[in-house]
Amino acid sequence: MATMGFCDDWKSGQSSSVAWTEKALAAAAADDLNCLTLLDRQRCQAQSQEVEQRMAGGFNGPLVGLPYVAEDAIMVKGQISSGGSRMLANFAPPFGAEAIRRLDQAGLVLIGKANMGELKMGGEESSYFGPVIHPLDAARRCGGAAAAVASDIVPLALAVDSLGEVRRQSAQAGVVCCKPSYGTVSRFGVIANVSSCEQIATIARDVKSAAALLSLIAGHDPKDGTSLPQESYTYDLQQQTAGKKVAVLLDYQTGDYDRRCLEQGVSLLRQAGVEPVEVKTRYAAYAHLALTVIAAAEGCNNVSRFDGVKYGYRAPEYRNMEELYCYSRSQGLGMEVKQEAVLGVYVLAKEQYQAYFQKALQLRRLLWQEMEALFREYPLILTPLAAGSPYLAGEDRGGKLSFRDRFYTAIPSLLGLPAVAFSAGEDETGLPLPCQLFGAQGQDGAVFAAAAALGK
Amino acid sequence: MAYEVVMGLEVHAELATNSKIFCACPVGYGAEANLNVCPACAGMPGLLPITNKKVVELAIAAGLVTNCQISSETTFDKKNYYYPDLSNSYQITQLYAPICRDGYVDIHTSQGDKRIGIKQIHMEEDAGKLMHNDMLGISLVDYNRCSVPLVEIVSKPDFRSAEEVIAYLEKLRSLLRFAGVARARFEEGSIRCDVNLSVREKGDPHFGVRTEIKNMNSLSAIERAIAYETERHIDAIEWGEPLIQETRRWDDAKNASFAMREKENAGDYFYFPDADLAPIEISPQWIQQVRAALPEMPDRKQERYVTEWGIRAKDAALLSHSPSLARIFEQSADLCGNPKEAANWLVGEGLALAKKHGIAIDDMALDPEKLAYLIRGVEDHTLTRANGKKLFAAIFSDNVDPAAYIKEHNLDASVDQGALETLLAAIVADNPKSVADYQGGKTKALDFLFGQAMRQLKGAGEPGEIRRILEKLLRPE
Repeated sequence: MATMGFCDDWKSGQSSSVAWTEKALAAAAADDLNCLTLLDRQRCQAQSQEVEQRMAGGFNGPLVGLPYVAEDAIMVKGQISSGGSRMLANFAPPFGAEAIRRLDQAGLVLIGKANMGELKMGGEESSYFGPVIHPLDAARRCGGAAAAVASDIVPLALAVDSLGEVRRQSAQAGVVCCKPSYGTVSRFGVIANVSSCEQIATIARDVKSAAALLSLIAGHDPKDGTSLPQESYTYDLQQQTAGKKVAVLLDYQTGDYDRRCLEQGVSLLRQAGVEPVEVKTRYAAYAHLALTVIAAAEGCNNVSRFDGVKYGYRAPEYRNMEELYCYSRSQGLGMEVKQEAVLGVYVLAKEQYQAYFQKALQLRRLLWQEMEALFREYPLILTPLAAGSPYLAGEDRGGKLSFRDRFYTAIPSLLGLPAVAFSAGEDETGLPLPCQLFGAQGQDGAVFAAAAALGK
Repeated sequence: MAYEVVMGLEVHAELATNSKIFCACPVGYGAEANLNVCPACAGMPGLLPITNKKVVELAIAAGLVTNCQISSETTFDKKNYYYPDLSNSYQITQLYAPICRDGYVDIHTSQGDKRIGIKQIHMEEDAGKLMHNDMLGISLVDYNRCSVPLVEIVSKPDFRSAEEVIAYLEKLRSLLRFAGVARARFEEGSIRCDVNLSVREKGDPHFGVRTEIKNMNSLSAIERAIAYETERHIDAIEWGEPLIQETRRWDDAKNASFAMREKENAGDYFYFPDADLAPIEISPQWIQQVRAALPEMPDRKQERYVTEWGIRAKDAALLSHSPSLARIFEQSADLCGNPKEAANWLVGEGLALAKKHGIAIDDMALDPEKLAYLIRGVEDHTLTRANGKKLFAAIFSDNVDPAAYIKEHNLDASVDQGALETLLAAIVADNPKSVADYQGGKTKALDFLFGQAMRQLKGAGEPGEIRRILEKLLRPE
């Protein structure tokens, strides 16, 4: 069996899926970070036994038998899939995500569901199940999937990278996140927020594991109309990175923290034989604004189906149809989701459509053109991922800080580009300094290989 | 004061597919509530629309038969509003790049021929149905119709009378049905029509205030609604009362239109592009394929019936109106080799019987083989015309087997050879003068004897055979 970097360490000498699963279950039971919203002992114990039998019959693969968690937006058949919302806290879908089906087939063991910002629309404080405590500093916040990997509950996780928060949270927790090009992984069975941007990303301690996990879920799915035709993906992490030109976007040097992130990233690149070139762009600094408008519109539309009529939360008391809608949505959805919904309605209203939504689409096009031109010269781009350390408890209430940091994460989301997020070094308190590398659409392998070449 | 009514039509037609527009659920009229429903059309999260290719092809066909331009690229948009029968709280439709544009339909009315412009045709999904139970004070939702594919055919404001509207709707229905695009039946809601109406003084270049009338489910309701609404507008104009641009619901029982609740008149649906559906590219080859697969359209049929088969124009119009009637006609004409007779029987007997039994022309199910058998029988005089009518009625109502029916009811008019020869010999013997005339060279005398024979035979016997026997009898020994 090929060595699988950190995954092999995680196994700690044990060699059975049942043992790995028990280890993950024990760690999950002891979890005091609020990483998970659901732990499904029965499902995963049955699954690990089944995998053992298949392995006994000769079935094998790099990640076979390993436990993982999936963010709660990724639905599992018959299992509560709440998306971190009261609205869906009782919702068990009669179908599951394509990504989960593929991992079932590949012999991985799903331990449970990871906590997340409400319906991907809310930030670190917005989950109905309470915030996730940062694995490296209990005074701070994190995302459930990143925290589950960073605290070694599981070696692998799936999370929906919607606006880039999963990349940021992963890098700030000291783990790696691989986000593929848009259309690579099926969105079937994923509770949608920003339909035109989001992809399931993989989280692990190293690029090798994250990329291997990604290749298991990537590939065409006829159930997703935006799925690319390519049937399967393998990522060659051995490909040459040294000598490649990397652009460092000056647009993202706004303060001490992001500058330090970049410095660390640049020094890693130099160690790997890559000479970074500083580049200033025209539109990069506006990407988050376009993304915010598009995200609000699409998110608002995607949560409009949660109306209390068919499934999910329904207000206990109402006198008529209007009240059924109003009370169910008022009580079932949290403040940050409502904020997004109101913004979405605003940018889509007849009077504002041209000034906001149309403009956002224009900006997306312009940025696409600018990036295309940039990629011709620099196949890789390095940026920081945050303006400051992971949010302190309560600091992101209302979503202001998640909005602020969208500035750094926006381009790969908005343009559907492959990106890899990692810690480029540590600050004086030992917290990771988050960076990302991204490249042109379809260059996923080259992007992941570059991060691997940096020792990630 | 002379007034002019100006109208434009929005016609929704359910496309004749087996499955829904964005999921694989079957489409079926009259299925048990919520039977044809899956998580996607029930509005669950995590499901993505996948466009039914057949829907696109039928929409292209709809565009071709209405002389539209077919877009080379077409996209879907989301229209947002809350209503319990709309499972996703948005409808997938086309606003920015509809599939067809700029077509026309030619109509004929008592005022002559007219061309009605088509602004656009777009694809969209239908909503479900909400059923209120006042007794129990509850409302129930049936999602069967959710995501059933529709085309909306939007006309230009070219109508000036109810007669034009009805002529257009009949023509459009006929085109859609012939092209196999839609069943287009008002009674089952598979075609629905909204009328945008305004009234102005004749000669005024500006349009008056427009109201939209919805919820009309028959041609006669549309006719009455137009008359009512026109009158209401004229009254308002004459009394100086303000008219407001609004959507009104036609109440067939009360024979009046009523303003709909304010919500339906809200006006902003927050349209925006559907990111889950990639743009659809329509190549000239694809359009050509759809065009090549189109059957002959009613106008062309009508023309061919007249010029090639010599059918009367009026009958040709009737026979080419309905796809099923045209099929019965053409097949029986081919089988019996006598299109005129086939036309006579179908128009004379068929339509009369349909009317008598209250059967829609589209539902007439007449076996062309049986009709051809009947026509041949009358032609070769094994069946009299009067008995032919009896047989026709029996085929029409009970789909009887003609041979068995003729035998059972003793309708066979054929005469055996011996009896025929005896009868003809008697006629020859009774008419010595005609015999002498014939033998003297007046061959016309044969016609007289033939006529006598036909009279006595009451249509039985094969005319050629009768002539042959007569000629043999008259030949001088």
